[in-house]
Amino acid sequence: MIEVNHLTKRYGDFKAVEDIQLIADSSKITILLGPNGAGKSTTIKSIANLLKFEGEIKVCGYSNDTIAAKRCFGYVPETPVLYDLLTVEEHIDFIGHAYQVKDYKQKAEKYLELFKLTEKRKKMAKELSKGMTQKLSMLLAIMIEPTALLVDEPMVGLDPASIEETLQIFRRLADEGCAILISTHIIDIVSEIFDEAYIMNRGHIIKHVKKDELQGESLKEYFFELTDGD
Amino acid sequence: MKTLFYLWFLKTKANIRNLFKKPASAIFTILMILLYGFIFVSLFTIHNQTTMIVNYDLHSSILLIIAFLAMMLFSTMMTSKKALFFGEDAFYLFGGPFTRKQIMAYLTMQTIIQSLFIGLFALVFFAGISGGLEFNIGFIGLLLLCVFITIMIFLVLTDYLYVVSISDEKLKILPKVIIGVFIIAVMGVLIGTYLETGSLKTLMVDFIQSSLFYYVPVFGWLKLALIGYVMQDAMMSILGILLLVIGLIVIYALFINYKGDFYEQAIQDSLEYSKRYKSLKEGNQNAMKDVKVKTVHSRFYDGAYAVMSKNLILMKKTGHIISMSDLISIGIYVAVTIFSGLGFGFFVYMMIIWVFSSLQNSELATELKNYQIYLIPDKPLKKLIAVILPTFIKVCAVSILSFIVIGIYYQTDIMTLLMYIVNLLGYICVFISASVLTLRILKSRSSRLFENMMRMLIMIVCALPSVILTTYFILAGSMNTTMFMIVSYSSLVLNFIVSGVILLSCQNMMNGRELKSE
Repeated sequence: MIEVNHLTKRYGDFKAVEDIQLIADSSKITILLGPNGAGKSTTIKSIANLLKFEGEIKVCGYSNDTIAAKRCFGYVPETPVLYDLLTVEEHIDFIGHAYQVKDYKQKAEKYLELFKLTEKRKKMAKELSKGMTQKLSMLLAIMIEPTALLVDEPMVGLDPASIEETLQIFRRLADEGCAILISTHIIDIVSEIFDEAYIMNRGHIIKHVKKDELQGESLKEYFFELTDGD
Repeated sequence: MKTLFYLWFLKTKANIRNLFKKPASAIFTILMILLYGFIFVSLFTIHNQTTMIVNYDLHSSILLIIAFLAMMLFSTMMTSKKALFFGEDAFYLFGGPFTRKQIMAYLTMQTIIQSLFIGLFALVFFAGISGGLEFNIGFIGLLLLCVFITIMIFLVLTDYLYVVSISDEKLKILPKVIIGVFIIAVMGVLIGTYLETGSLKTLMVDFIQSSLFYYVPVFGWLKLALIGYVMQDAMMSILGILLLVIGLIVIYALFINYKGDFYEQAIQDSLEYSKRYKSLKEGNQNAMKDVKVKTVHSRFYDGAYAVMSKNLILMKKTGHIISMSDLISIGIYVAVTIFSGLGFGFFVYMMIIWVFSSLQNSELATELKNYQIYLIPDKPLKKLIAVILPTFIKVCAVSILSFIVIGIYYQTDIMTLLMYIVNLLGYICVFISASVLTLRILKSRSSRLFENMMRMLIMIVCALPSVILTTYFILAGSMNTTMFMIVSYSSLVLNFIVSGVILLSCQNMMNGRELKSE
């Protein structure tokens, strides 16, 4: 579970996000939705402890700056950050050892298959296409078997088939008990799989909605009503 | 053409605005300008009334600046990653409503500015190597003019060879041929000097002062103009300048009248070059070269030390544990030490400079900017040590190896050798901790220049106690061998203590959020 209490992030006098309160529950896919500049990425990076912030953030019950919290969450950044000269396999070895994941090779094998990266395992990151690097970045976050997963704009660079596969993987992970928090501004892609959504605008959460509360209205319609079509 | 001038003006304005955007950056820029100004004024002993004379020192200083220019310009010519413009310029220039002449004129303007900056930089170098010599303003002006034309000739030639090789792959060999011609010309002068004097013993001294060097294209003309000026031989000086100007006109005419089709490849190369340059600015030292990647066996340690394993693997893959350039640099230091007869102490000094520069090129800063390091669930201090260790191991291995080699040559006893090694280790610790501290303080705004300034500052802090102790003992009249030893060791011990304190106090930055500048 990811709990964010009174999160405020300032850049000088400017508040990128203010007094954010959100919970991403275990076994659920929670969406952070908002137009460009709403503060989604700032929220995700604060949860990943990559930014200084005011407030309190807990991941799996631990403060997000503790080793225990780091051990239980995976993070997929908006732009994959990989080592150009390491092969797919070496990236897997690196993360497997760094997180001390037992039988990480077996676990990674499953996702290599799923992301169709098996044949690319000896390729260096710089030899992969944009979509492939995105898949590898996801694989590295998922192979540690996180109990909480933070995903920042996950579908950028993926082809339609890969998007579908990725969504299925997210669903499966959630069904296995993982709390998934996805930040995106592409509503259509996540409208089917989400359980809960937090709608952000101009640094604030303006609405928290559960799927069954929509009463036949689409998430897109609901979003545009709230954000005045931003 | 007006539009292109306006583009250049906007870009220059934007660059200056960017430099002065943040107070820290503005202060730093002003400091750098003042520093360069100070170097200029203080290093050149300029007097209007000074009558310069042609002597051995002047000849050797001019030849040294020629060697410096040759190394810089030839390496530019030989680089495999070339482009006429940066990507964005190429995109708008080649894609926009501009004639070939306008594009070439814009490129020329770029080359003129570049040449001027390199020329000024070369002058600082000249000032540094010609300590003791006195110059008058006329000489400095002429030096700047001739160096500027020389650089222009080679930069335009590099661009010309580049466009020519686009239409014919076989012509890619031309830069090598041209450099070969220059080497042969210099060898010719060397042989000619020997034939003239018949003395092998004084060959280098004779070569440096030989008038045969004036026959070497471009570089010889540069020397001709300068020596002519000092000899007050107007004909000689004008001839040198004229030859340089004619050389530039010929090369420029060849370039501007080139009719081949190079647009498509030029755009591609420019975009690629921009990408690599950006990567270089972000700290990737290999960005401008195609690094050969070896397949190596990978074995990872657990937890934080997986980072160390990963970095060692990357070093092995790129052959950077002990690279060819490291070996060449140290080989030069060994040769200079042995031939100059300056002894082990001089070699230690050279090695400190090597450590300084090789740490500048290390991947330490880049590594500390990768988010994955912060997410790894392990203790911050362990992560910091794991990040530092590969660089530390590499620098230590190379230094110790070279100390042993030079120690054997000088038949130094083991204790002295060990002392030198420990001394250097102290400096390595100081330099590495300075990089860490710079990143901790300046966060993602940190740059190589700031790192260097921090290194100097910490070195001064570490040296302070020994300076204070020395002053105290001298004033107290109790300076003897024992006191001298105490003073030396205090500085050394402090290097380790200060480094340790810095690393311990900076460990929390490995949690991540302390490193991103706000």
